[in-house]
Order: sequence, then C-alpha cells, then structure tokens
Amino acid sequence: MDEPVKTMSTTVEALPARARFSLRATEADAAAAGEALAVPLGATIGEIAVAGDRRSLRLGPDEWVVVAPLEDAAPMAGAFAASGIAGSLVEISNREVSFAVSGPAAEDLLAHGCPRDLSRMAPGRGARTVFDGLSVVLWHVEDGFEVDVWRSYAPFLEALLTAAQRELAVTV
Amino acid sequence: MLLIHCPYCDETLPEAEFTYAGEAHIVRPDPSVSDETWRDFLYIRSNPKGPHAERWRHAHGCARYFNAIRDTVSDRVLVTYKAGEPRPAIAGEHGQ
Ligand SMILES: [Zn+2]
Repeated sequence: MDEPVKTMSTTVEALPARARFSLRATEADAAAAGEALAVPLGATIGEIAVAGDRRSLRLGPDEWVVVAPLEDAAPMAGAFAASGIAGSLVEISNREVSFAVSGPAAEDLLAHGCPRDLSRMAPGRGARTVFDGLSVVLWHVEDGFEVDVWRSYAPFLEALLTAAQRELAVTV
Repeated sequence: MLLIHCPYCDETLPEAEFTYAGEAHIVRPDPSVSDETWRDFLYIRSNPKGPHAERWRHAHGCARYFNAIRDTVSDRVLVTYKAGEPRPAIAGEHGQ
C-alpha cells in the first residue's frame, strides 16, 4: 500500500480510511434504517444506492454494507441507536481496507482472481464475491471498481493484483 | 466449474462462491427419541444415484442457505429453491 501502481491499462490504488457499517435489518425495517442513517438502501441484492458522500450496497436479503466519510461514523451510529429499529448496525471501519481498481482493463485485472463474469456487473452494482480464495466486496462505481477486503488479507490481495497488472502490461 | 442459480440473488453464479452443506430436508427429531433414531438422523443418508436434494450456501455472496436438486450421475444442478420451500417435483424422476 505504498505508491499507487499504474500501467497503461490499469491502476491499483489503496483508498483512504472511511466509515463502514454492516447493517442487518428486515425488509420491513429497511426504509426506517435508511432514514436513520441518511442513506438509501437498495431494494434488490447487488444494488448500490448513493446519497451525497454516503452509499450502501445490498449484500443479501437482510444485509447491507454502508460507507461514509470517517467523521460520520459516530453520528450515524448514534442516529441508528436513537431510532429504536430492531436491527443490528456494527461498525467495521477498521476491519477492511479498500482498493480502487480502474482503467480500461480493470475487468480483465479482476478476472485474474474473481470467477464472476464482471461484464454483467454494471456500474451501480456490486456484490460480495471471492478473489483467489478471499472474500471481497466489489463495488462497480462510476470510475471503476472498488474492492473491500479484510485488513489482514490486504497485503496478499495487493500482491496478487500487482502481479496480475504486470502480466496484463505484457499481454494487453 | 458448475454454475449455480442462487434463489435469493436470482443470479447464476460460479460454484466457487458456494459451499456444499449436506443432504436437504433432514428433519431434526425430538431429542427424546431412541438412540437408533438419533443415529439415523446424524449419519444415515439417502445417497441416491440420480437427483439428490442438497443444501448449499452462497457463502461468498448473500451468505444464505438454500436447496438444490443435483443429479449425482450428470453432476447437473436441476433446480434450486429457497430454504423452507418444499422439494419441487423433477420431470422424469423415479422414486427414491
Ligand atoms: Zn445469493
């Protein structure tokens, strides 16, 4: 996670720290939970919903991940607690780190470790999936992909991505 | 690699995102049953040659358990359905 690695076709860059929450709530409570957190919660699995600098990704029937600027963590947790919603909001800011993977060959780069057909993951969509045995969360955002990974696995993931980058630089 | 349809995500995804979790529709008996019944619950499985109802988990995705009927001869996943739903009938399936 030192200097961002760039080639003609891909860029891999560690992103600065951000607030992250794992939210578990029933369908019936989702709207109220989104209101308390001031972020919309997507209606279908895989949907990214954005409000300003906060966004959410629906991972499962009753599970979302919510990210926001670091300084928003405490107020968001407070607002959720005050709402009295019967759900669970766990702050995982420090558990994961994120890499931005961008450039015209970003999909090819991620295909080195991810078995999903990423051409079917449109911008505004994301998922928890697997990358070379690691559980990761992929976000297809406007300017490429973001990859969340548990902190202790980050050096391994970064090594895999930069090795794949070198391979792509030769072949693309 | 198998492609498996997750009934929660409603997407057909690579097997690498899933884990196998044993035979489906095994009902846990009341703990007061005989040792023989308890043994059967723990260890005795149908092991058919043909369509087999199995539990799978979308472990690296939505994390949900669901059921699948997989043909143990062709290794084809014939149908998947949400946990709690009854086992669907498979055309051409013989009794087990
Ligand atoms: Zn799923």
